Amino acid sequence: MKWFGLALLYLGLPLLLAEVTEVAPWLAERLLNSAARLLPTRHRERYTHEWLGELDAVPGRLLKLLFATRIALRVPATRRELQHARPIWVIVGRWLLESLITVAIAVARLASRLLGRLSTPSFNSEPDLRLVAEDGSVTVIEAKMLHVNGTLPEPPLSGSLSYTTNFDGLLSEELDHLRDIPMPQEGGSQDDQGHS
Amino acid sequence: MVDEIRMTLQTGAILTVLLSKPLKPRYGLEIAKEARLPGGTLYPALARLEEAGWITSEWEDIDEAAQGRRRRRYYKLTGEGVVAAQKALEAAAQKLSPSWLPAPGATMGGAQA
Repeated sequence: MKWFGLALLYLGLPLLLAEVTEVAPWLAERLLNSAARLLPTRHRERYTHEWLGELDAVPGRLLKLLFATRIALRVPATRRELQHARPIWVIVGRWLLESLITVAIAVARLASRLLGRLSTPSFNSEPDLRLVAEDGSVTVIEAKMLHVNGTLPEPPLSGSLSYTTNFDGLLSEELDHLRDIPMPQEGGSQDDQGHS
Repeated sequence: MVDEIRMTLQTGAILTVLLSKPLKPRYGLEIAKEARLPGGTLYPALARLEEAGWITSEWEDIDEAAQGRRRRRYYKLTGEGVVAAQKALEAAAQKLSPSWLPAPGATMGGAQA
């Protein structure tokens, strides 16, 4: 039995190798044709011809099969390059990163808005205090500036002044610092006369 | 204007081969042999370089029946590809060489006696 096995191996192996060697070029071509079919449609024909042209330059029948196998194994990578596509883990990772950044920006904006509301009063964009001197010169003081700086520009304090204001009471403390200018009466915007 | 590419060792090897004689067109197997790359890794890198505009390719103009073989696809660097490849290889070489090593041609401790 042992001798029979050895004889089979001795005779069969070269025979098998010869058969494989015989069909190797045909198998290599089939393999390359199949591999090219996995590429994007517009590239298939070009790569089929290119690889078959290269195959002719490979010496040896078994080496042809090896060459074709190597190309076939790398077809997914070639396909990715031709499709400008990235591996799935890169796509998923990038999507996750972009989502995280978007959420972080949204949270930061929301927090900033909430904190802003808590810490600073809303102001009208309109001028809040309009001082008109006797000589007709006008000084406009915005509530925003008044609040932010905490100081007031020097108003023309000589002569009589008239003012119009739409303070809603938030800035009454700052307005108190404005020397010699009468405070607005209760009830919002009004015209009044003052003296320094 | 060429696009940026992802530089790999294979890409670097291919660019080095193509830069050695920029005007000489080469076919895939020829590049693979000179760059000592297995055939499989060559084509993804070539496709990347071609899509980015670094290299261009064209079919060999032969009579297949007379030559007894099928035509090959020949690759060579584009004008912009040459410049981009030189820059990319220099950048890659700088990244790969340790910063504590003296530059080629530099002497230890300044002037040589």
